[in-house]
Order: sequence, then C-alpha cells, then structure tokens
Amino acid sequence: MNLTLHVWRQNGSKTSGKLVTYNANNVSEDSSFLEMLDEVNEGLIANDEEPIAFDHDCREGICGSCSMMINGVAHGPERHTTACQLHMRSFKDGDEIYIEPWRAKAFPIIKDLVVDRNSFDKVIQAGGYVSVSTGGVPDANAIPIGKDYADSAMDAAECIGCGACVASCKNASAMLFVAAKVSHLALLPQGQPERKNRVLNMVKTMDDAGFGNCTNQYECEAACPKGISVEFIAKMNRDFLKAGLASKD
Amino acid sequence: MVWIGQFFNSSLGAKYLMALTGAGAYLFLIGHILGNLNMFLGADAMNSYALTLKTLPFGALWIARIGLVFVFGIHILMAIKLTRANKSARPVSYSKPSTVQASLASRTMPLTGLVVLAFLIFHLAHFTWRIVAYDGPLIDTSGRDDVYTMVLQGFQQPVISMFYMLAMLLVGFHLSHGAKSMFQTLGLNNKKYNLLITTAPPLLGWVVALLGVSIPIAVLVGIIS
Repeated sequence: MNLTLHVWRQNGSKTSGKLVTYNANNVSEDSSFLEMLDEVNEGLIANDEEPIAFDHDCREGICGSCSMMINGVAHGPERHTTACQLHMRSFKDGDEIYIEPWRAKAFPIIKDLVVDRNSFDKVIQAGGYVSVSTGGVPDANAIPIGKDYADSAMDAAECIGCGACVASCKNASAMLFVAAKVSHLALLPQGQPERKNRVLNMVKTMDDAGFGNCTNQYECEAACPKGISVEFIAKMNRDFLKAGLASKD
Repeated sequence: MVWIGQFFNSSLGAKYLMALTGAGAYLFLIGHILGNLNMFLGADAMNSYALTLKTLPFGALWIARIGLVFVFGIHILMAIKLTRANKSARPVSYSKPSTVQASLASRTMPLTGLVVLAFLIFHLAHFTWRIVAYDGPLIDTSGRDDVYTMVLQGFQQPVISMFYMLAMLLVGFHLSHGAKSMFQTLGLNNKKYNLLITTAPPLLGWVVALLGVSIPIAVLVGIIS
C-alpha cells in the first residue's frame, strides 16, 4: 500500500518544529508501524536526509519505549496495542497518517518523536518501591495474599510507563500512571508500611512535574496499551484522602 | 495547620473541593427547582412559599445564602485553578486532535460552567437583587411580596425566557458529566454500584433541568398566567 505521512520534525527542545510530509510506498500490510517508519528512514538516509527519530526498544509491546500519536490517538487505532505491535493492516492504501510526539509540558521533546519521560522516573523515585532490609530470599508464599488482591495488584503492575495516558488526556494528566504505580503496592501486604507517605509523595511529585488534572474523561483508559482501569484512579483518590487526613505529618 | 493548605492546594485536594462543592450546588438546584414548581400551583402557593423561605427561623435563609456563596465561590475558584493548570500542562496542542471516548459534556465543562455562571449572575440580578428587567415593587392582595407576578412578568419576555431555558439545558448538560464525575473524584468506583452512580445522578440532573425549562415554557404558552 502507498501512504502519505505527516511527521512532526523538531531538532531539539529549544527549537520549533513542524509537520513534514513523506510518502511511504509499497508498504507491506504485514509490517509493523515501526518497521514502516524504518523503511521511510532508510529512504531518507539514502537521500542524505536526517532520519526520523523515534523511541523503540523491545518491539514486543512490553518495554514502554515506543511513543507516538498516530492520527491523534496514542499508539494508533488498535486498542490495547503499543505502536510497535500495531501492524499496517490496520490502515488502507491511500491513507494519510499524522504522526506526532506525546505533547505535555512534563514531557519536553528531545528530537522529532522522542520525548523526555524523566518526570515519570521522578514519580517512581518518590515512592514506587518498598523499602526492605535485604537478607535471605524469603520463602515463596510465606505471606498469604488473597487471589483477588494479587490479581488486582497485577492488573495495576501491568503499566509499562509509556506515557500514552498523559498523551491522550485532554489535560495531559498523569493520574492513570501514578494511580497504577500507587495501587499495585497498596494492594499487597509488603506495600502497607509506606502506603500513606507513598501516595502523598508520588502525587506531590506528579503535581510538581507540571502534569494536568484528571477530569474523569477516561481517554487514558482507552489509550492505555495495557488496559489499566480508571478504577485505580478512584483508588488513588481514596488513598490520598485517607493519607492526607491520617498521616502523622 | 499548614497541612490543610497543602492538602487542598494539591491536584487531588482541589479536585475533592470541586466534587464536594459540585455536589452541594447539585443538591441546591434540586431543592430550588422543586420549590419553584409552586409556580404551577398559583400565586397564593408561590407567594406563601417565598414568604416561608424569608421567615425561616434562626436566620436560616441567610445561613443558606452564605453557604451557597461558599459552595459556588469554591467551585469557581477551583475550576479556575484546575483549568489553568490543565491548559499549561499542554503548551503545544496536537495538529490532528482526536477523541476516543470522552463525552462532549466532559470536554466542555469549563465552557458550560462559564455560561451557567453568567446566567447565575443575571438570575440573581433579575429575581434576587431585582435590578434588571424588574418592574416593581409588586405586592399581592394579602400584602406579601408578589414573587409570582414578578416571575410571570419576567418570563413573558421571550428573550429572557429563552435565556433561562438555554441556561437550564446547559445546566443539565454540565451535570450529565459532573453528577457522575464527582463520585470518581471522591474515590467511589465499584462494579457493585457503578451502573447506579453513573446513570441516576445525571438523569436526575436532566429531569431537574427540564423541570426548570418547563416554568418559562408554561408562562410563554399561557399555562401559567
């Protein structure tokens, strides 16, 4: 199939960018979206032009690196699918495709489609862990955890931190990401001792990073390649309320 | 006590205030419209209802009014604070924006809120402060403040009636998102009762808004005269 691409090109965070139009010809419907971009880049390199910069790593839908708005939808038109797992059979011959980077103040553009997602790392550093004294490896199943809780914790822990929730949110809010990271530990016994400070610190770090606020439109849930539910945002809202009223400082 | 300021200054703290004051305004609207349905029962019912409100014991009317100023004031302040943060969180917008599942109502809350606020100010100036479109003082045969005639004369002017109807429809639209969104913000999201809290409160909001529309319509078509 032959496609017309409108790709955001921007040299760095300080410069301004613009959409540049490229033709992608003879694209196989079996190729992935990133492979299609690879082919376009090979053409650009052959013409001595700068290839389109985009993030990618595992190309198996589990690392959270790939990040691009495809026709205004994070990771493109298929639900529960990362851009690397999106295949060209989702498009048809003659389509025009707009490819833009995640747009958020907290995600400054590094180059073209590559954005700096360090603000997510800062949120994790503020409490997305449990502090444990190291020692011998504990026996498996030494701490009983109900299956419902284990399942729910795993649902939250599926978050790969790609940032699609922020990109798709009308307010560039990171609340689905933060809620997932707060919740997967809050649902487990190991997460209890630091539960209150965790949610307070992670929300504060999220606010300081300049993300917007959730207005319960649930675009994040629709865009999330892992299908993280907005139930976790409600859970974070409960936890923050309780922690705000019950923490010692 | 510093923690209180920090707590409500956070994104989630501001959202709790938004939800709680929204719930307060929603409950007030239900009571206010139900009371005003006295217009359908005639001048005596409406004027005696108005007099009852004004002569409530312990200055209850003023306590309620001060409460409402706080409810609406905080709702507006938090709306400004949150919307500003939301706008600044995405300085460059998408060239080709798209929406998957966000409702139109949810995406236009600041706009519908602003129009409803403009209406609210007009409504207060019209019927409470009585400084616009008011031809009074109006006193009924029992010597009471003639609220019935005031409303009748007001709504007999089609432009004013249309503005009231439009505003009430926008209130219904605003509530179609707000009346369910507040539960999520306050952490109430559970499969057991999600169907109930996402349908009943917005539906009641629409019913109340349409009851509000019914009063100017009834005046315009002569059911209330």
